[in-house]
Amino acid sequence: MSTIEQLQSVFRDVFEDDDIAISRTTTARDVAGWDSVMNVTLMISVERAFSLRFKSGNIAGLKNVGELVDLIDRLKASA
Amino acid sequence: MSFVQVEFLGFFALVFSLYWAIPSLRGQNRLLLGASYLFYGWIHPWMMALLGAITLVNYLAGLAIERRREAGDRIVAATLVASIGVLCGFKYFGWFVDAFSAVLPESVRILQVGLPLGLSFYTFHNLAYTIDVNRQRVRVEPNLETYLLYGSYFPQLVAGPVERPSNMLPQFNSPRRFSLEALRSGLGLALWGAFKKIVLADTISPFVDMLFQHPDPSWAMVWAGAIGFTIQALADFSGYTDIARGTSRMLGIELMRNFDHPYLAATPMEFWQRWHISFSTWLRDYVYLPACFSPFVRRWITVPGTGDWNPFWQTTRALFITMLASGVWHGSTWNFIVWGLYHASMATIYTAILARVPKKRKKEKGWRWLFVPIQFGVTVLGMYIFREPSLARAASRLLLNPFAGSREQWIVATSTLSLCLIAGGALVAALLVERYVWPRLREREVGLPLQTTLWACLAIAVFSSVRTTTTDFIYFQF
Repeated sequence: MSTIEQLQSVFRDVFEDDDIAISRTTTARDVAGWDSVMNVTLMISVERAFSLRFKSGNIAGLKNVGELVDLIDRLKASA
Repeated sequence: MSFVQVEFLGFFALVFSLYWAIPSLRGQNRLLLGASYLFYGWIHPWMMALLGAITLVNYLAGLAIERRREAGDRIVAATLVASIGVLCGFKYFGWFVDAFSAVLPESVRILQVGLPLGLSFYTFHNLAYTIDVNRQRVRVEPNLETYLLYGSYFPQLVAGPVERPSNMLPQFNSPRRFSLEALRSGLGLALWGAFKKIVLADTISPFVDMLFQHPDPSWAMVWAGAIGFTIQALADFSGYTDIARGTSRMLGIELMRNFDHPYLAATPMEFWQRWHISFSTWLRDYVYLPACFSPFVRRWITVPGTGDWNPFWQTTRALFITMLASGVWHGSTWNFIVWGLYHASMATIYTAILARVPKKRKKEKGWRWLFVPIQFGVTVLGMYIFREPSLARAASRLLLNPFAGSREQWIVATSTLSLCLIAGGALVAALLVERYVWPRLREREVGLPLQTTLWACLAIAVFSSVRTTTTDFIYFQF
Protein backbone atom coordinates (compact mmCIF):
# COMPACT_ATOMS: atom_id res chain seq x y z
CA MET A 1 0.00 0.00 0.00
CA SER A 2 1.41 3.43 -0.95
CA THR A 3 1.87 6.21 1.61
CA ILE A 4 -1.06 8.21 0.24
CA GLU A 5 -3.39 5.17 0.34
CA GLN A 6 -2.39 4.46 3.92
CA LEU A 7 -2.86 8.15 4.71
CA GLN A 8 -6.34 8.09 3.20
CA SER A 9 -7.49 5.46 5.68
CA VAL A 10 -6.08 7.62 8.53
CA PHE A 11 -8.06 10.61 7.20
CA ARG A 12 -11.27 8.55 6.98
CA ASP A 13 -10.78 7.32 10.51
CA VAL A 14 -9.97 10.74 12.02
CA PHE A 15 -12.68 12.69 10.21
CA GLU A 16 -15.17 9.82 10.51
CA ASP A 17 -16.02 10.03 6.83
CA ASP A 18 -15.62 6.99 4.60
CA ASP A 19 -16.11 9.08 1.45
CA ILE A 20 -12.99 11.22 1.88
CA ALA A 21 -10.70 10.88 -1.13
CA ILE A 22 -7.39 12.68 -0.80
CA SER A 23 -4.79 13.57 -3.41
CA ARG A 24 -1.44 15.35 -3.25
CA THR A 25 -3.16 18.69 -3.81
CA THR A 26 -5.77 18.28 -1.04
CA THR A 27 -5.60 21.08 1.55
CA ALA A 28 -7.35 21.78 4.86
CA ARG A 29 -9.98 23.78 2.98
CA ASP A 30 -11.05 20.66 1.07
CA VAL A 31 -11.82 18.54 4.13
CA ALA A 32 -14.74 19.51 6.37
CA GLY A 33 -13.64 19.89 9.98
CA TRP A 34 -9.89 20.04 9.31
CA ASP A 35 -9.06 22.84 11.75
CA SER A 36 -6.11 23.40 14.11
CA VAL A 37 -7.45 21.03 16.75
CA MET A 38 -8.28 18.25 14.28
CA ASN A 39 -4.91 18.81 12.62
CA VAL A 40 -3.14 17.77 15.82
CA THR A 41 -5.40 14.72 16.19
CA LEU A 42 -4.65 13.87 12.55
CA MET A 43 -0.89 14.21 13.04
CA ILE A 44 -0.96 12.03 16.17
CA SER A 45 -2.89 9.39 14.21
CA VAL A 46 -0.41 9.63 11.34
CA GLU A 47 2.46 9.15 13.80
CA ARG A 48 0.80 6.00 15.15
CA ALA A 49 -0.08 4.61 11.71
CA PHE A 50 3.41 5.09 10.33
CA SER A 51 5.34 4.56 13.59
CA LEU A 52 7.20 7.86 13.45
CA ARG A 53 7.56 11.07 15.43
CA PHE A 54 6.97 14.58 14.13
CA LYS A 55 8.55 17.76 15.42
CA SER A 56 6.53 20.99 15.44
CA GLY A 57 8.92 22.39 12.82
CA ASN A 58 8.01 19.51 10.48
CA ILE A 59 4.30 20.20 10.65
CA ALA A 60 4.19 24.00 10.67
CA GLY A 61 3.98 25.28 7.14
CA LEU A 62 2.79 22.07 5.47
CA LYS A 63 0.75 23.34 2.53
CA ASN A 64 -1.05 20.22 1.32
CA VAL A 65 -1.28 16.44 1.54
CA GLY A 66 1.56 16.12 -0.98
CA GLU A 67 3.97 17.83 1.42
CA LEU A 68 2.75 15.59 4.25
CA VAL A 69 3.35 12.47 2.10
CA ASP A 70 6.88 13.69 1.28
CA LEU A 71 7.55 14.35 4.98
CA ILE A 72 6.35 10.86 5.96
CA ASP A 73 8.50 9.25 3.26
CA ARG A 74 11.51 11.31 4.34
CA LEU A 75 11.11 10.43 8.01
CA LYS A 76 10.55 6.74 7.19
CA ALA A 77 13.68 6.67 5.04
CA SER A 78 15.81 8.29 7.74
CA ALA A 79 14.46 6.04 10.55
CA MET B 1 2.84 58.31 11.07
CA SER B 2 -0.63 56.83 10.82
CA PHE B 3 -2.51 55.77 7.70
CA VAL B 4 -5.36 58.14 8.55
CA GLN B 5 -3.21 61.26 8.91
CA VAL B 6 -3.16 63.72 6.02
CA GLU B 7 0.68 63.59 6.09
CA PHE B 8 0.49 59.94 5.05
CA LEU B 9 -1.24 60.86 1.78
CA GLY B 10 1.64 63.18 0.84
CA PHE B 11 4.24 60.70 2.08
CA PHE B 12 2.76 57.82 0.09
CA ALA B 13 2.26 59.89 -3.08
CA LEU B 14 5.95 60.88 -2.98
CA VAL B 15 7.18 57.33 -2.25
CA PHE B 16 4.90 55.87 -4.94
CA SER B 17 6.10 58.35 -7.62
CA LEU B 18 9.80 57.94 -6.83
CA TYR B 19 9.47 54.16 -6.46
CA TRP B 20 8.11 53.56 -9.94
CA ALA B 21 10.53 56.09 -11.43
CA ILE B 22 13.48 54.03 -10.18
CA PRO B 23 14.43 51.37 -12.74
CA SER B 24 16.49 49.02 -10.54
CA LEU B 25 15.30 46.55 -7.91
CA ARG B 26 18.12 47.58 -5.57
CA GLY B 27 17.16 51.24 -5.87
CA GLN B 28 13.49 50.47 -5.23
CA ASN B 29 14.37 48.40 -2.15
CA ARG B 30 16.63 51.17 -0.81
CA LEU B 31 13.86 53.73 -1.27
CA LEU B 32 11.36 51.48 0.55
CA LEU B 33 13.88 50.94 3.36
CA GLY B 34 14.51 54.68 3.80
CA ALA B 35 10.76 55.40 3.58
CA SER B 36 10.00 52.71 6.17
CA TYR B 37 12.41 54.18 8.73
CA LEU B 38 11.12 57.70 8.01
CA PHE B 39 7.53 56.45 8.45
CA TYR B 40 8.42 54.80 11.75
CA GLY B 41 10.61 57.58 13.12
CA TRP B 42 8.18 60.35 12.15
CA ILE B 43 7.05 60.99 15.74
CA HIS B 44 9.88 59.54 17.84
CA PRO B 45 13.17 59.17 15.95
CA TRP B 46 14.69 57.08 18.76
CA MET B 47 12.21 54.32 17.94
CA MET B 48 14.19 53.72 14.74
CA ALA B 49 17.12 52.51 16.88
CA LEU B 50 14.90 49.91 18.57
CA LEU B 51 13.48 48.73 15.25
CA GLY B 52 17.00 48.52 13.79
CA ALA B 53 18.32 46.61 16.82
CA ILE B 54 15.53 43.96 16.80
CA THR B 55 15.91 43.52 13.04
CA LEU B 56 19.69 43.27 13.22
CA VAL B 57 19.63 40.70 16.04
CA ASN B 58 17.38 38.42 13.97
CA TYR B 59 19.42 38.95 10.80
CA LEU B 60 22.61 37.94 12.65
CA ALA B 61 20.79 35.01 14.26
CA GLY B 62 19.82 33.75 10.77
CA LEU B 63 23.43 33.93 9.59
CA ALA B 64 24.68 32.21 12.76
CA ILE B 65 22.15 29.36 12.34
CA GLU B 66 23.26 28.89 8.73
CA ARG B 67 26.90 28.59 9.83
CA ARG B 68 26.27 26.36 12.87
CA ARG B 69 23.20 24.22 12.24
CA GLU B 70 23.91 22.06 15.28
CA ALA B 71 23.55 25.14 17.53
CA GLY B 72 20.33 26.28 15.81
CA ASP B 73 17.97 25.58 18.72
CA ARG B 74 20.22 27.42 21.16
CA ILE B 75 20.55 30.43 18.83
CA VAL B 76 16.76 30.54 18.42
CA ALA B 77 16.32 30.32 22.20
CA ALA B 78 18.79 33.20 22.77
CA THR B 79 17.10 35.33 20.08
CA LEU B 80 13.67 34.59 21.57
CA VAL B 81 14.82 35.57 25.06
CA ALA B 82 16.43 38.80 23.78
CA SER B 83 13.52 39.84 21.54
CA ILE B 84 10.68 38.82 23.86
CA GLY B 85 12.63 40.24 26.81
CA VAL B 86 12.73 43.69 25.19
CA LEU B 87 9.03 43.41 24.32
CA CYS B 88 8.08 42.40 27.87
CA GLY B 89 10.30 45.12 29.33
CA PHE B 90 8.34 47.80 27.51
CA LYS B 91 4.95 46.14 27.73
CA TYR B 92 4.88 45.18 31.40
CA PHE B 93 7.07 47.88 32.97
CA GLY B 94 4.01 49.78 34.24
CA TRP B 95 2.51 46.59 35.69
CA PHE B 96 5.83 45.73 37.35
CA VAL B 97 6.09 49.17 38.97
CA ASP B 98 2.48 49.01 40.21
CA ALA B 99 2.93 45.49 41.58
CA PHE B 100 6.21 46.17 43.38
CA SER B 101 5.84 49.87 44.17
CA ALA B 102 6.27 49.18 47.88
CA VAL B 103 9.80 47.86 47.45
CA LEU B 104 10.99 49.90 44.46
CA PRO B 105 13.02 53.09 44.89
CA GLU B 106 11.43 56.45 44.00
CA SER B 107 13.69 56.85 40.94
CA VAL B 108 12.15 53.71 39.35
CA ARG B 109 8.55 54.44 40.42
CA ILE B 110 8.44 57.81 38.65
CA LEU B 111 9.68 56.39 35.34
CA GLN B 112 7.09 56.48 32.56
CA VAL B 113 7.83 53.86 29.88
CA GLY B 114 5.46 53.81 26.91
CA LEU B 115 5.13 50.92 24.46
CA PRO B 116 6.86 51.81 21.17
CA LEU B 117 4.39 51.67 18.30
CA GLY B 118 4.28 48.29 16.56
CA LEU B 119 6.98 46.71 18.75
CA SER B 120 4.99 43.47 19.17
CA PHE B 121 4.25 43.20 15.49
CA TYR B 122 7.77 43.64 14.19
CA THR B 123 9.19 41.47 16.98
CA PHE B 124 6.92 38.56 15.92
CA HIS B 125 7.59 39.31 12.26
CA ASN B 126 11.36 39.08 12.78
CA LEU B 127 11.16 36.03 15.05
CA ALA B 128 9.22 34.18 12.34
CA TYR B 129 12.32 34.53 10.14
CA THR B 130 14.78 33.20 12.74
CA ILE B 131 12.56 30.23 13.64
CA ASP B 132 11.84 29.39 9.99
CA VAL B 133 15.55 29.52 9.10
CA ASN B 134 16.19 27.06 11.93
CA ARG B 135 13.31 24.86 10.76
CA GLN B 136 14.77 25.07 7.25
CA ARG B 137 11.48 26.33 5.90
CA VAL B 138 13.14 29.41 4.46
CA ARG B 139 16.63 30.12 3.15
CA VAL B 140 18.82 32.56 5.02
CA GLU B 141 18.79 36.09 3.57
CA PRO B 142 22.43 37.12 3.08
CA ASN B 143 21.73 40.69 1.93
CA LEU B 144 21.51 43.04 4.92
CA GLU B 145 19.55 45.71 3.02
CA THR B 146 16.93 43.20 1.89
CA TYR B 147 16.59 41.82 5.40
CA LEU B 148 16.32 45.28 6.95
CA LEU B 149 13.51 45.97 4.49
CA TYR B 150 11.80 42.69 5.46
CA GLY B 151 12.04 43.75 9.09
CA SER B 152 10.69 47.26 8.62
CA TYR B 153 8.48 47.39 5.48
CA PHE B 154 6.20 50.32 6.31
CA PRO B 155 2.73 49.17 5.08
CA GLN B 156 2.71 46.29 7.57
CA LEU B 157 5.12 47.62 10.19
CA VAL B 158 2.99 48.96 13.02
CA ALA B 159 -0.04 46.64 13.13
CA GLY B 160 0.58 43.80 10.71
CA PRO B 161 -0.32 41.61 8.96
CA VAL B 162 2.40 39.66 10.80
CA GLU B 163 4.00 38.43 7.61
CA ARG B 164 6.13 35.36 6.93
CA PRO B 165 9.60 35.39 5.36
CA SER B 166 8.50 32.75 2.82
CA ASN B 167 5.98 35.26 1.42
CA MET B 168 7.96 38.49 1.72
CA LEU B 169 11.63 37.73 0.97
CA PRO B 170 11.00 36.26 -2.52
CA GLN B 171 8.96 39.39 -3.36
CA PHE B 172 11.73 41.73 -2.15
CA ASN B 173 14.23 39.76 -4.25
CA SER B 174 12.18 39.75 -7.48
CA PRO B 175 11.91 42.59 -10.03
CA ARG B 176 8.58 44.39 -9.80
CA ARG B 177 6.76 45.94 -12.74
CA PHE B 178 4.15 48.68 -12.58
CA SER B 179 0.67 47.34 -13.23
CA LEU B 180 -2.41 49.49 -13.77
CA GLU B 181 -4.58 46.61 -12.56
CA ALA B 182 -2.61 46.36 -9.28
CA LEU B 183 -2.85 50.15 -8.86
CA ARG B 184 -6.62 50.10 -9.35
CA SER B 185 -7.17 47.11 -7.12
CA GLY B 186 -4.82 48.44 -4.40
CA LEU B 187 -6.39 51.90 -4.48
CA GLY B 188 -9.88 50.41 -4.16
CA LEU B 189 -8.82 48.21 -1.24
CA ALA B 190 -7.13 51.11 0.58
CA LEU B 191 -10.19 53.34 0.05
CA TRP B 192 -12.51 50.65 1.39
CA GLY B 193 -10.20 50.24 4.39
CA ALA B 194 -10.25 53.99 5.06
CA PHE B 195 -14.06 53.95 4.79
CA LYS B 196 -14.33 51.13 7.34
CA LYS B 197 -12.01 52.91 9.76
CA ILE B 198 -13.05 56.55 9.40
CA VAL B 199 -16.73 56.29 8.51
CA LEU B 200 -17.81 53.09 10.28
CA ALA B 201 -15.47 52.45 13.23
CA ASP B 202 -14.93 56.08 14.23
CA THR B 203 -18.67 56.81 14.07
CA ILE B 204 -19.50 53.92 16.43
CA SER B 205 -16.52 54.60 18.69
CA PRO B 206 -17.99 57.52 20.78
CA PHE B 207 -21.19 55.54 21.45
CA VAL B 208 -19.18 52.52 22.58
CA ASP B 209 -16.93 54.68 24.80
CA MET B 210 -19.98 56.30 26.38
CA LEU B 211 -21.67 52.94 27.05
CA PHE B 212 -18.56 51.36 28.58
CA GLN B 213 -17.82 54.44 30.72
CA HIS B 214 -21.41 54.93 31.86
CA PRO B 215 -21.55 54.76 35.69
CA ASP B 216 -25.00 53.14 35.81
CA PRO B 217 -25.95 51.39 32.56
CA SER B 218 -28.94 49.14 31.98
CA TRP B 219 -28.55 45.54 30.77
CA ALA B 220 -29.55 46.59 27.23
CA MET B 221 -26.90 49.34 27.27
CA VAL B 222 -24.22 46.85 28.34
CA TRP B 223 -25.03 44.51 25.45
CA ALA B 224 -25.43 47.37 22.97
CA GLY B 225 -21.92 48.49 24.01
CA ALA B 226 -20.57 44.96 23.57
CA ILE B 227 -22.16 44.56 20.11
CA GLY B 228 -21.00 48.06 19.16
CA PHE B 229 -17.42 47.26 20.16
CA THR B 230 -17.62 43.97 18.23
CA ILE B 231 -18.54 45.83 15.03
CA GLN B 232 -16.09 48.67 15.74
CA ALA B 233 -13.18 46.28 16.34
CA LEU B 234 -13.74 44.53 13.00
CA ALA B 235 -14.22 47.75 11.02
CA ASP B 236 -11.19 49.34 12.67
CA PHE B 237 -8.73 46.48 12.45
CA SER B 238 -9.79 45.09 9.08
CA GLY B 239 -9.88 48.69 7.81
CA TYR B 240 -6.27 49.14 8.89
CA THR B 241 -5.30 45.85 7.21
CA ASP B 242 -7.03 46.80 3.96
CA ILE B 243 -5.15 50.11 3.84
CA ALA B 244 -1.90 48.22 4.50
CA ARG B 245 -2.61 45.61 1.82
CA GLY B 246 -3.88 48.19 -0.65
CA THR B 247 -0.88 50.52 -0.37
CA SER B 248 1.48 47.55 -0.57
CA ARG B 249 -0.31 46.20 -3.65
CA MET B 250 0.19 49.58 -5.34
CA LEU B 251 3.94 49.06 -4.74
CA GLY B 252 3.75 45.60 -6.35
CA ILE B 253 4.06 43.66 -3.09
CA GLU B 254 1.21 41.41 -1.95
CA LEU B 255 0.53 41.07 1.79
CA MET B 256 -1.45 38.17 3.23
CA ARG B 257 -5.17 38.42 3.96
CA ASN B 258 -5.80 39.12 7.64
CA PHE B 259 -9.62 38.91 7.89
CA ASP B 260 -12.07 36.63 6.14
CA HIS B 261 -15.54 37.68 7.33
CA PRO B 262 -14.95 36.40 10.88
CA TYR B 263 -18.51 37.00 12.09
CA LEU B 264 -19.74 34.38 9.60
CA ALA B 265 -17.78 31.70 11.49
CA ALA B 266 -19.88 28.82 12.80
CA THR B 267 -17.38 27.42 15.32
CA PRO B 268 -14.67 28.81 17.66
CA MET B 269 -11.90 27.26 15.55
CA GLU B 270 -13.37 28.67 12.36
CA PHE B 271 -13.47 32.12 13.99
CA TRP B 272 -9.70 32.01 14.56
CA GLN B 273 -9.19 30.91 10.95
CA ARG B 274 -10.98 34.11 9.89
CA TRP B 275 -9.96 36.71 12.53
CA HIS B 276 -6.48 38.32 12.57
CA ILE B 277 -5.34 35.39 10.43
CA SER B 278 -1.68 36.40 10.31
CA PHE B 279 -1.39 36.43 14.12
CA SER B 280 -3.59 33.35 14.63
CA THR B 281 -1.44 31.34 12.23
CA TRP B 282 1.71 32.78 13.89
CA LEU B 283 0.46 31.49 17.24
CA ARG B 284 -0.48 28.17 15.63
CA ASP B 285 2.95 27.62 14.07
CA TYR B 286 5.19 29.01 16.82
CA VAL B 287 3.25 28.39 20.06
CA TYR B 288 0.42 25.87 19.56
CA LEU B 289 2.30 23.25 17.53
CA PRO B 290 5.42 23.36 19.74
CA ALA B 291 3.07 23.05 22.74
CA CYS B 292 1.80 19.83 21.13
CA PHE B 293 4.85 18.28 19.53
CA SER B 294 8.07 19.51 21.10
CA PRO B 295 10.14 16.64 22.59
CA PHE B 296 10.21 18.46 25.94
CA VAL B 297 6.41 18.61 26.18
CA ARG B 298 6.05 15.01 24.99
CA ARG B 299 8.18 13.83 27.88
CA TRP B 300 5.69 15.04 30.46
CA ILE B 301 2.43 14.35 28.67
CA THR B 302 3.03 10.71 27.71
CA VAL B 303 1.00 8.29 29.78
CA PRO B 304 3.55 6.33 31.88
CA GLY B 305 4.07 2.76 30.80
CA THR B 306 2.13 2.99 27.54
CA GLY B 307 4.07 5.69 25.69
CA ASP B 308 0.68 6.72 24.40
CA TRP B 309 -1.21 9.97 24.77
CA ASN B 310 -4.70 11.31 24.43
CA PRO B 311 -5.16 13.73 21.51
CA PHE B 312 -8.07 15.51 23.23
CA TRP B 313 -6.10 16.39 26.36
CA GLN B 314 -3.04 17.21 24.30
CA THR B 315 -4.88 19.70 22.07
CA THR B 316 -6.75 21.11 25.09
CA ARG B 317 -3.52 21.72 26.96
CA ALA B 318 -1.95 23.34 23.89
CA LEU B 319 -5.06 25.46 23.30
CA PHE B 320 -5.00 26.84 26.83
CA ILE B 321 -1.25 27.57 26.64
CA THR B 322 -1.71 29.35 23.28
CA MET B 323 -4.75 31.41 24.25
CA LEU B 324 -3.19 32.30 27.59
CA ALA B 325 -0.11 33.54 25.70
CA SER B 326 -2.40 35.53 23.41
CA GLY B 327 -4.20 37.04 26.41
CA VAL B 328 -0.96 37.96 28.18
CA TRP B 329 0.34 39.52 24.97
CA HIS B 330 -2.73 41.76 24.69
CA GLY B 331 -2.13 43.26 28.13
CA SER B 332 -1.25 42.87 31.78
CA THR B 333 -4.79 43.31 33.16
CA TRP B 334 -6.85 40.29 34.24
CA ASN B 335 -9.54 40.79 31.61
CA PHE B 336 -7.09 39.85 28.83
CA ILE B 337 -6.08 36.67 30.64
CA VAL B 338 -9.73 35.75 31.24
CA TRP B 339 -10.45 36.59 27.58
CA GLY B 340 -7.75 34.12 26.45
CA LEU B 341 -8.99 31.39 28.79
CA TYR B 342 -12.60 32.07 27.74
CA HIS B 343 -11.79 31.45 24.06
CA ALA B 344 -9.76 28.32 24.90
CA SER B 345 -12.72 27.05 26.96
CA MET B 346 -15.18 27.71 24.13
CA ALA B 347 -12.98 25.79 21.65
CA THR B 348 -12.62 22.91 24.12
CA ILE B 349 -16.35 22.74 24.82
CA TYR B 350 -17.08 22.74 21.09
CA THR B 351 -14.55 19.94 20.47
CA ALA B 352 -16.01 17.87 23.31
CA ILE B 353 -19.57 18.32 21.98
CA LEU B 354 -18.50 17.57 18.40
CA ALA B 355 -16.92 14.29 19.50
CA ARG B 356 -20.37 13.17 20.72
CA VAL B 357 -22.27 14.15 17.57
CA PRO B 358 -23.22 11.08 15.47
CA LYS B 359 -21.29 10.62 12.19
CA LYS B 360 -24.36 11.22 10.00
CA ARG B 361 -25.21 14.54 11.66
CA LYS B 362 -21.68 15.91 11.15
CA LYS B 363 -22.11 15.75 7.38
CA GLU B 364 -25.33 17.76 7.35
CA LYS B 365 -24.46 21.26 6.24
CA GLY B 366 -27.80 22.89 7.09
CA TRP B 367 -26.78 23.17 10.76
CA ARG B 368 -24.13 25.72 9.90
CA TRP B 369 -26.52 28.67 9.76
CA LEU B 370 -27.87 27.78 13.17
CA PHE B 371 -24.38 27.92 14.64
CA VAL B 372 -23.33 31.24 13.05
CA PRO B 373 -25.50 33.39 15.39
CA ILE B 374 -24.44 31.25 18.38
CA GLN B 375 -20.77 31.79 17.54
CA PHE B 376 -21.47 35.50 17.05
CA GLY B 377 -22.88 35.59 20.58
CA VAL B 378 -19.72 33.84 21.85
CA THR B 379 -17.64 36.47 20.03
CA VAL B 380 -19.64 39.40 21.44
CA LEU B 381 -19.21 38.14 25.00
CA GLY B 382 -15.48 37.70 24.34
CA MET B 383 -15.28 41.25 23.03
CA TYR B 384 -17.03 42.54 26.14
CA ILE B 385 -14.48 40.80 28.39
CA PHE B 386 -11.69 42.15 26.16
CA ARG B 387 -12.88 45.75 26.43
CA GLU B 388 -13.95 45.85 30.10
CA PRO B 389 -10.84 46.02 32.34
CA SER B 390 -12.73 45.39 35.61
CA LEU B 391 -13.86 41.77 35.86
CA ALA B 392 -16.03 42.46 38.91
CA ARG B 393 -17.84 45.24 37.03
CA ALA B 394 -18.20 43.02 33.94
CA ALA B 395 -19.77 40.21 35.99
CA SER B 396 -22.18 42.50 37.84
CA ARG B 397 -23.29 44.24 34.64
CA LEU B 398 -23.86 41.05 32.67
CA LEU B 399 -26.12 39.82 35.47
CA LEU B 400 -28.37 42.91 35.47
CA ASN B 401 -32.12 42.53 35.01
CA PRO B 402 -32.67 42.38 31.20
CA PHE B 403 -36.04 44.13 31.42
CA ALA B 404 -35.06 47.00 33.70
CA GLY B 405 -34.10 50.43 32.40
CA SER B 406 -35.47 53.92 31.97
CA ARG B 407 -36.91 55.23 28.70
CA GLU B 408 -33.69 57.18 28.05
CA GLN B 409 -31.57 54.07 28.63
CA TRP B 410 -33.61 52.09 26.10
CA ILE B 411 -33.26 54.95 23.58
CA VAL B 412 -29.45 55.00 24.00
CA ALA B 413 -29.26 51.20 23.61
CA THR B 414 -31.49 51.06 20.54
CA SER B 415 -29.69 54.03 18.92
CA THR B 416 -26.36 52.24 19.27
CA LEU B 417 -27.83 49.00 17.95
CA SER B 418 -29.32 50.87 14.98
CA LEU B 419 -25.89 52.28 14.21
CA CYS B 420 -24.43 48.76 14.45
CA LEU B 421 -27.09 47.52 12.02
CA ILE B 422 -26.16 50.25 9.52
CA ALA B 423 -22.42 49.52 9.85
CA GLY B 424 -23.02 45.76 9.76
CA GLY B 425 -25.27 46.26 6.72
CA ALA B 426 -22.45 48.08 4.92
CA LEU B 427 -20.07 45.17 5.64
CA VAL B 428 -22.63 42.59 4.46
CA ALA B 429 -23.36 44.65 1.32
CA ALA B 430 -19.63 44.75 0.54
CA LEU B 431 -19.44 40.97 0.92
CA LEU B 432 -22.40 40.45 -1.43
CA VAL B 433 -20.93 42.85 -4.01
CA GLU B 434 -17.54 41.14 -3.82
CA ARG B 435 -18.96 37.62 -4.16
CA TYR B 436 -21.97 37.97 -6.45
CA VAL B 437 -22.17 41.36 -8.15
CA TRP B 438 -18.63 42.34 -9.08
CA PRO B 439 -17.67 39.02 -10.78
CA ARG B 440 -20.65 39.55 -13.16
CA LEU B 441 -19.90 43.22 -13.86
CA ARG B 442 -16.11 43.07 -14.05
CA GLU B 443 -15.92 42.28 -17.76
CA ARG B 444 -18.87 44.42 -18.83
CA GLU B 445 -18.61 47.95 -20.17
CA VAL B 446 -20.52 49.32 -17.23
CA GLY B 447 -18.04 47.78 -14.74
CA LEU B 448 -15.35 50.46 -14.81
CA PRO B 449 -17.66 53.51 -14.56
CA LEU B 450 -19.58 51.83 -11.73
CA GLN B 451 -16.39 51.02 -9.87
CA THR B 452 -15.06 54.57 -10.29
CA THR B 453 -18.36 56.03 -9.07
CA LEU B 454 -18.31 53.78 -6.02
CA TRP B 455 -14.74 54.83 -5.22
CA ALA B 456 -15.67 58.49 -5.60
CA CYS B 457 -18.56 57.98 -3.15
CA LEU B 458 -16.23 56.21 -0.70
CA ALA B 459 -13.64 59.01 -1.00
CA ILE B 460 -16.29 61.71 -0.43
CA ALA B 461 -17.60 59.82 2.61
CA VAL B 462 -14.07 59.40 3.98
CA PHE B 463 -13.01 63.02 3.53
CA SER B 464 -16.27 64.41 4.83
CA SER B 465 -16.02 62.19 7.92
CA VAL B 466 -12.40 62.92 8.84
CA ARG B 467 -12.42 64.58 12.20
CA THR B 468 -9.67 66.79 13.53
CA THR B 469 -8.98 64.19 16.21
CA THR B 470 -9.29 60.86 14.44
CA THR B 471 -9.12 57.95 16.86
CA ASP B 472 -6.00 55.80 16.66
CA PHE B 473 -6.37 52.26 15.41
CA ILE B 474 -7.40 49.95 18.27
CA TYR B 475 -4.48 47.57 17.71
CA PHE B 476 -1.85 50.32 17.97
CA GLN B 477 -1.95 49.84 21.76
CA PHE B 478 -0.76 46.22 21.50
